[in-house]
Amino acid sequence: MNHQPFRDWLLSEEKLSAEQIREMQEHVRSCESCRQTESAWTQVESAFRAIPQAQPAPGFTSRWQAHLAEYLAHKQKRRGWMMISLNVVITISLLILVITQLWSLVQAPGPYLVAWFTRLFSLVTIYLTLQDMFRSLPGSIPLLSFLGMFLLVGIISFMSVLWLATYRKLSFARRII
Amino acid sequence: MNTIEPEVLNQVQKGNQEAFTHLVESFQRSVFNLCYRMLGDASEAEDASQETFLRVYKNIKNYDHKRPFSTWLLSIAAHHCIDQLRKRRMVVISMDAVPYLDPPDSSPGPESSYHMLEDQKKVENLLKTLNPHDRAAVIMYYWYDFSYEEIAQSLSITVSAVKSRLHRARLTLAQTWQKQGANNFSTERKTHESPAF
Repeated sequence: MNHQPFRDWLLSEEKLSAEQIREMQEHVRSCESCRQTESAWTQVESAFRAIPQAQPAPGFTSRWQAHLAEYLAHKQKRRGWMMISLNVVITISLLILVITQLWSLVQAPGPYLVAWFTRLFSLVTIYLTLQDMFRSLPGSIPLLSFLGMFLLVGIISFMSVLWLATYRKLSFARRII
Repeated sequence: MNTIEPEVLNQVQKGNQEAFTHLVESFQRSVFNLCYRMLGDASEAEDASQETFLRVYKNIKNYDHKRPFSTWLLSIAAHHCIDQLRKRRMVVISMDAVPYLDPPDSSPGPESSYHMLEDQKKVENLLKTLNPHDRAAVIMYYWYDFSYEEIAQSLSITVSAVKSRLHRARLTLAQTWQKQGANNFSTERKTHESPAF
């Protein structure tokens, strides 16, 4: 026997027409399986209504306050540790840098000072070369190309930031609707 | 369903902890009940409820006032419970952990309490036969009187998906009920009648 659409109608909360109700009642009278489904669902519904609302053990709010205090303390502690770690890493890096430089200075002061002066001279040379290069650029490259490049870089940066923000919003806040 | 004054919500959003405690007091029962119906274990429901309120605390600034607060809150609870159910999947839950229940009718007594616990367990077993999303839809529909639209919004699904999930859940529940042969469900017994007679 075909139970469709009667089984759907039995379990549906949609309003049925008078004709549909008559057809369904006729079917249920002659179909044992659908009669059992109807009876079972009625019993399930009454079972749902019969059980009381569960409630937490007394003192839920106090436990919540303790839980929140624990969370805030943990958060503060984690932030503190992060700051300490960052400071430690920076300090160690600086110390290593200073020690290596001092070690070189102590080992051979003359060559060390010469090397530093050479580096300084190279930096000045690079700076002057770059300055000359940029001074001659506006004449050889049209202004529009410059603006185009500037605009392109700007758009790419903006799109990257937008993509990152969207990704973060979609992946992080999905569960907090 | 509880409601909360907009003024309290504004205070909560401004970071007023006293207002948040008031909010917890107002909604603890609704949240715990949903978590308990979803997870079937009082201890897990307690943890899930606490976690729900913590998530609300962290994200209260994202709350949109156009939406009913209870719907937003319960959707967070439901999502958390769905995640928990997905995580544990094969872990067997102790059925001994039973929460505090509302005071029964005017006839409290060992027999009445026993029947209530028995009914409670039967409903829990029934709900366990549903997948987490269907279970959440059934709980919101039958215990919280959520509309199809509210369920859809809470579970991030369409209204037609809600209808089809509820329909599928009803069929599963009816079939499970038939299989279990739960003819002796205590709601069918006369009040105070002992099963021995």
